[in-house]
Amino acid sequence: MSDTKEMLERAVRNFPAPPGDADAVCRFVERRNRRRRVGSAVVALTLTAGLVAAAVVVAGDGTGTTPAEGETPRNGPIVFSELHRGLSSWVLSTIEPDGSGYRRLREPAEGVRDYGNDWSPDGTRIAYDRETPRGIWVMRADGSSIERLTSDWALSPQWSPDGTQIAYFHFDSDTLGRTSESAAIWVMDSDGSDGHPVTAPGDDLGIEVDWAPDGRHLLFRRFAPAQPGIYELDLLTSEERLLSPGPEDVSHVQGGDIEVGAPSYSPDGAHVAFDSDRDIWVMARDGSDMRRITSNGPWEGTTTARQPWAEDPSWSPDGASIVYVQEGDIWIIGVDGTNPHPVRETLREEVAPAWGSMP
Amino acid sequence: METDLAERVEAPPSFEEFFDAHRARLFGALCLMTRDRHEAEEIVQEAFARVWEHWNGVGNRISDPTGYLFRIATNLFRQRLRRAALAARRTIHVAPRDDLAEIDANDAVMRLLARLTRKQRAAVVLVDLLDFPAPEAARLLGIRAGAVRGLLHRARTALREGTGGTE
Repeated sequence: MSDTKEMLERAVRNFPAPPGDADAVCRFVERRNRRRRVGSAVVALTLTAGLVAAAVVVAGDGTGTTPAEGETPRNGPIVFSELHRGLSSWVLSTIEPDGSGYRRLREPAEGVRDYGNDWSPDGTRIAYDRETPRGIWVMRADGSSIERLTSDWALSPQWSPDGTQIAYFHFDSDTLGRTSESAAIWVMDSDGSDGHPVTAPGDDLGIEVDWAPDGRHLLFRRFAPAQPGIYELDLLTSEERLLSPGPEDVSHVQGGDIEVGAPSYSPDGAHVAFDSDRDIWVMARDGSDMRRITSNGPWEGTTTARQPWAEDPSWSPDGASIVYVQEGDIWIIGVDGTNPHPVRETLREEVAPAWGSMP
Repeated sequence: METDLAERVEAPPSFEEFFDAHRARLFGALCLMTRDRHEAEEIVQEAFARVWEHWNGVGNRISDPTGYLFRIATNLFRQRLRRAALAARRTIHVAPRDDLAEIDANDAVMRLLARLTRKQRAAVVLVDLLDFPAPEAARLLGIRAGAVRGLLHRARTALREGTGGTE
C-alpha cells in the first residue's frame, strides 16, 4: 500500500456515516418521482399555452430589426461583464472589437451584479440578468433607460431574431424566494409580458440558451446522465433534438455530466460554437465536422500549474469571428482558428461577452 | 447442501446489502473531496437513489455495481464543481462552506488536504483511495489523463512533504 493511500485511509475514518438505511433511499426516490409526475402534468398545460404563443411568433409578419435578406450585418461593439473585486461588483461595459471605445455602462457598487448579456438584434439595447434586485433587465446601449422586465430568479436572456421576444432561464423558488436547482427555459415578450415556460423544469439544464436565426429553435444544453449534450428545441412542436454529446473524448461519461457549455448559433444558423475541454469548438448544426479552434488543449503533457481555459463563445454578426473568454480576458479568434488575440489586456476579470451588430 | 451454499455465495447482493457495504466509504471519500459533510451526504443520497432506480438493470447487466455507484457520485461531484465555479463568479461575496475545521485541527492529513484544490483532492481520492485508474479518473473529472497526472503529482508531493517525506 502506498504511503498516500495509507494517509487517505486514515483520514477517511474521520467521517463515520450519518444515520440512514436503504429504505430511506427508496422512500426518497418514491417522493421525488411523485413530485416529478405532478410537475410534468402542470407543465404540460402551460406548454400548450406556450406553443400557441410560439406559433404566433414564427408565423408572424416579423417586425424584425435584423438586416434584410442577403445583407451582411456589420460588427458593432462587444458587451461584457467585468469584476470590481473590492466591491464584489459585476458591471456591464462595452468596447469596440479593435479595443477602442471602452465604456463602463454603470458605476460599480456593492451588491450590483449584472451578468449574462445579449444585444437586441438592432444593436440599440442590451438585455442582462441582475442579482439584486433580481430579474431580467434591459438598458439602452449607452447605459440609459434601465428597465426591469421580470422580478423572478432568471438568468441568461437572449433576444429573438425579430426582437419581439426574449428567452431566458427561470428558476423555481419557494414562498421565501429561495431558488432551487430546478429551472426551465421561458420565453416572454420583449416588454416583459406573457412569460411562460417552453420546456419542462429540470435540474439537468445548463443555464445558457441561444435563439436560432430562424426564430423557431432554441439551443441549450443538458447534463442528464442518459443523454448529455447540446440540444435544440423546436418552439413549434416542443420537440427536443440532441445535436451532439460534445467532443468524443470528453463525452459519454457513464452516469452523467459532460463538460460542454455555452452553445451559440452562427449568424446564418449553419454552425454552432461551444466550449469544452478548455477550448472553443465549432461544429455543423447537425453535429458533424466538429473542430477545436482555440489551442489550449490537449491536456496531455500539461506539467505546469497554469492551465489556460477558454469559454463563453459568441459569434460576430458577420459570422467571421468569435469572441470568447480566455482566462478572464475578452479575446477574438477567426472561426477558422486564426489570429487569436485579446481585445484588451487588463488585470480585471472579464466574462460573458456578446457581440452586437452596428445599429 | 453444497449446491445451496454455492448459490448463496454467487447470488448478487440485495440493495440493502449493497447500501450497507458501500455507504460509509463513499461518504468518507466524498467528505475528503468536498470538505463539506452536508454536500457529501446529498451526493451519497442522490447516487444511491440513482442506483436504486436502476437496481435491477445495474445488478443484472453490469458486473461492477460498486464502480457504477462511485462513478455516479463522482459525476455528481463534478456537476457541483462546475456549478460552484459559476456561483463563485456570480456571488463572490459568499465564502465556500468548509465545516471540517475541527477535524483539521486534530488531523495532520486533513490539514494538508485542506490546502489542495478540490480537483487535486478529487484526483488523489479517486486514484489513491478508491483505486480508479488515472485515465478513468480523468474521464470522471472531465479532464485529460495528462492533467490528472499533474494533479496527482502536486497532491502527492504536498502530502508527502507535509508529513516530512520526500519524493
